[in-house]
Amino acid sequence: MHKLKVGIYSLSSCEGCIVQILNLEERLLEVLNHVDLVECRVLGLKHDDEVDVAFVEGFVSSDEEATKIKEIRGRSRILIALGDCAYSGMRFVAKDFGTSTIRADPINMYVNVDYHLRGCPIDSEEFLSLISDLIHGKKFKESSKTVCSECILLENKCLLDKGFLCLGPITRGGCNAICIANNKGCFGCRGLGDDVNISAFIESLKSKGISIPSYLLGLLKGPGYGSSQNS
Amino acid sequence: MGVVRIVELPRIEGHLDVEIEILGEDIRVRAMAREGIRIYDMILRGREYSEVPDIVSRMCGVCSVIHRVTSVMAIESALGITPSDDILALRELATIGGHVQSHLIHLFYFILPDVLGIDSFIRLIDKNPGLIKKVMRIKGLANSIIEALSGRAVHPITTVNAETSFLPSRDKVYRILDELKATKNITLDISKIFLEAEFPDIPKEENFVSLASRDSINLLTGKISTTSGVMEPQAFLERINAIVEEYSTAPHFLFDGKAYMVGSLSRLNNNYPLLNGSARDLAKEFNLTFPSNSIFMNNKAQALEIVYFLERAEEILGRLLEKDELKLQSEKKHGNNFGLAATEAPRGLLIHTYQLENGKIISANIITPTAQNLKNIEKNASEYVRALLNNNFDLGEIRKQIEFLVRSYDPCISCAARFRKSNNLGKKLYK
Repeated sequence: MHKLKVGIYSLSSCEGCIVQILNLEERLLEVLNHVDLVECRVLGLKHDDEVDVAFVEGFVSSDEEATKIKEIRGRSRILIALGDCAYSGMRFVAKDFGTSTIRADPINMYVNVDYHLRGCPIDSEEFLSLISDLIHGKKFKESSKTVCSECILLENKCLLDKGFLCLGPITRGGCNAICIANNKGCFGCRGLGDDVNISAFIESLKSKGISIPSYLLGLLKGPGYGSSQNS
Repeated sequence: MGVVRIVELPRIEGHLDVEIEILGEDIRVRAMAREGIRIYDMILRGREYSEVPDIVSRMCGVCSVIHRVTSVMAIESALGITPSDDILALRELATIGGHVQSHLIHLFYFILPDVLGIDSFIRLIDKNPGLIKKVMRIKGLANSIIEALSGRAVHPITTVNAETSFLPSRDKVYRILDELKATKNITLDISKIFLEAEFPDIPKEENFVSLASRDSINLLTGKISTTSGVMEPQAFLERINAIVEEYSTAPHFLFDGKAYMVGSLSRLNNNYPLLNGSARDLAKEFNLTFPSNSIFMNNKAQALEIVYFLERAEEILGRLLEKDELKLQSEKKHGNNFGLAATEAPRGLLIHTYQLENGKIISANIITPTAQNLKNIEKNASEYVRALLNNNFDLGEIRKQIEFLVRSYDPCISCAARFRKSNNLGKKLYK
């Protein structure tokens, strides 16, 4: 069977998503049995030719990087944006909606993105399930749940009920509520879930006496960058 | 002979071009950070201080633990909080986890191919799968220490502090201790690969800067040790200045107008008497002496540190387990709203400072190890090029050797990069 040729690329970023992949340790070896990793600067692999799957972390902060992402798109069959930098230009981490003058563009402003792996960093399990879908020629579907609905199933204690800010009710799931499991409110790094109601969320925070961070009001006007639909 | 440009130096963290210019006797090497705009100092302005740790950990995927811990300590100092010894011990543990995983990535994924003359660590999957599995087991152990204390190995979720009731379960701690004991020989085995490797012993490093230590190699607190003596971090800050180079998106630092080196080698050069246990034995076994002034020794220093840090982790865990209860209450006095923390990142001295007003950040300054090393990299790479030319190396070989030299500093460009040369922001930030 033809092994998928895979490349991993980075634009302006912390490279934490790659580290997250390296941290799979022996499970990464298992993945490498099934795919052919041909390009990755951090690992010293150079290819400069067509790949089946390109993983791209980081945002575009210069014309050079805009050219680079287009060049990568031009020679890849499937392109996957890794992490919040590639997905939103790091806005959900920096909570910087609409006011920034810093150029930090999500990659789908320049190219079509086939799939997004959200979060900061990406979730290892979600990465593995995407890779497995690709190996089997299937389409990857990201979680349609919110962090909150995943969290309830895991029976974590609700931090909102305890009076702490937690963005779980408006944030897209797929991370198994890892922050709440570690006794910290959801940080919102995976971006907004489908059809979430920010106004209602703000009202519920008020009723619990939790102070409203100003960026939530900014989010009401939309996160300030292009659509991120999976195609 | 002209100009050689190494574009996006492979096998380092982040994007760095290295330009070697040879014009007769005149040799210049430029370390050109290419990472785009990542102005954390600016992003933080106007934020609540409580938001800072989550944001700054994102400066770097390899050293997120130390950025998080350093920001918390700097903010605590602004608020007049002194963390208890137990809190510091728990933070040191998380930091050790971060340092060991970072050193392993640097030594095995980045440097080992230079030692073996291959392009990538992953070639060993076929050639030496046993070694890969050993490295992954120790890296997994280091990450499990971070996870136990902070919830996640990359971009940790919590920092041990008085406001967080998060403590690792005893079960987890015992599992980590068992694994530390079970893997001792593996750690020694894999470290020896670097201790016995032959590295060039030029060029000559001179100016070593790190935290000064007393009982153990300090990672989180202490004064700063330099070739001009030991001083308070604030005094050190007054003696360094940042240069903005047109060709680099990172500031380049000088101390008293001179290039200096931070990192594992500086730590051992300045604190060698404190290196104890198996790491000490290994240094003797392989006839390694410190201080050493070859940058290639930075790789051996990291290999020794892996052994030292893991034994230190075992010691701290053992000590904490003997206590019935940990003291997590911190002392609080009145803070003056300015906070500074100087720590040791895997790659060397890291300084965070914050000025608060009404609980918000009005200015922040983050001085990273790699930014401090860049001028030194340029200086020593230039000297190395001259030495190689004198020994009739051709340009291809020179290029390879310079790549190896730059890599040996373990540069982290994601941390170092701040601004884009075209918009003058660098000049505004660093006058």
